[in-house]
Amino acid sequence: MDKVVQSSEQAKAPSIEKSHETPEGWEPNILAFACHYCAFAAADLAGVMRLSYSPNVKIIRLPCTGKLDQIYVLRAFEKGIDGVFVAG
Amino acid sequence: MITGEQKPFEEIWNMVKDFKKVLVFGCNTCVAICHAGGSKEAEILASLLRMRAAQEGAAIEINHAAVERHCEPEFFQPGMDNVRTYDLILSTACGVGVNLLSEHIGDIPVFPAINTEFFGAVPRSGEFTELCAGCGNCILHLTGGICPIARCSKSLLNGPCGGTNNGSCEVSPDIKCAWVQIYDRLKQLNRLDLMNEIVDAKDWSKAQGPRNFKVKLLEEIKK
Amino acid sequence: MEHVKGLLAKVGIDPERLEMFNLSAAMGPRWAEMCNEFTEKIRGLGPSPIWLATYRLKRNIKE
Repeated sequence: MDKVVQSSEQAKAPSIEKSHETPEGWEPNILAFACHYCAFAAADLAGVMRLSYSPNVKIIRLPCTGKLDQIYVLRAFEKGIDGVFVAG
Repeated sequence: MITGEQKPFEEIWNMVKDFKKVLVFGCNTCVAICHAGGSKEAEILASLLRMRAAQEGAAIEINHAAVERHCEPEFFQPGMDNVRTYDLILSTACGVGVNLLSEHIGDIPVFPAINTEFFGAVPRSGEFTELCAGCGNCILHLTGGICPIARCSKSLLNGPCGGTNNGSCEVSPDIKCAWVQIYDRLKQLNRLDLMNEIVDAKDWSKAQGPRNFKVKLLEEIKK
Repeated sequence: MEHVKGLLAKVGIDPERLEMFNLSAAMGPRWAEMCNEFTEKIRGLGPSPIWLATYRLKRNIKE
């Protein structure tokens, strides 16, 4: 998508997070948007292969990563998710 | 169509931060086409403002809504009871919308979230360019359909100035000299004789506001 | 993606928290590896500012 928008304003806003304390017992909460036909299938395969991986990742299946909307990602962050990745 | 660009986020945040209940109100016509103020952009802006408010510890309720047009009361009138429950309306419509909503809403402020720019064409998706300045006195029949008011940096009416530079304008090489384009177009139309026609000093009174008009036919029907 | 990263930066969220990966259906091991890598990265970045803000708010209410 267009890169134009993020130019000048970025510098002014408090763009870099202040380093802050991490409360005890905090675990990263991560959301993965996965394409049904590639990444979701890969995740499925990882399961079938009995691979163990980080339990912090919650997967949301999309019919295609093209279904992803900016607002989905923003809503996730708004609800306090710590990281989002899109896989397709 | 009316074009506009969203204001810098900090400017918008400074507008809304002292309010308690804010509605980001989008308009789904012109400003939605230029990705500045449609329902989608209103929703994104509301989300960003909520995130900012959460971090600042500001207890602001921020919601979003959109109607098809802000420039005609009949589009926003039906939902006005709901709109009036807010203490600030952050409008992503063009300036026309902000003005008209302000007139109808009563004692609630309406703030603009976008800078309204010009009425433009969309030569390619995502690109906007000013082709008409709405000066109120059209001479396009004399200039091969290319408007020197909007497209010449000096709005010259009778040929180019000395700054024309190999088809570009002296203001910027990115701006094409409108008069070179007019010449080429007239040549193509076989109407170079129009170049010799002198256009008299323009009546600019029709180009300045406040302007309004009524459709005579409708007025007569009302009678 | 770049656009949304810009949006996040505007509201003080590190754009590093958003990432895009490409992989095929046959890449099960890569998926596991990716999840681990990304989790570690986020662990390094710490909780999101939004999460922290709500956490603090909740804690204040309790106290």
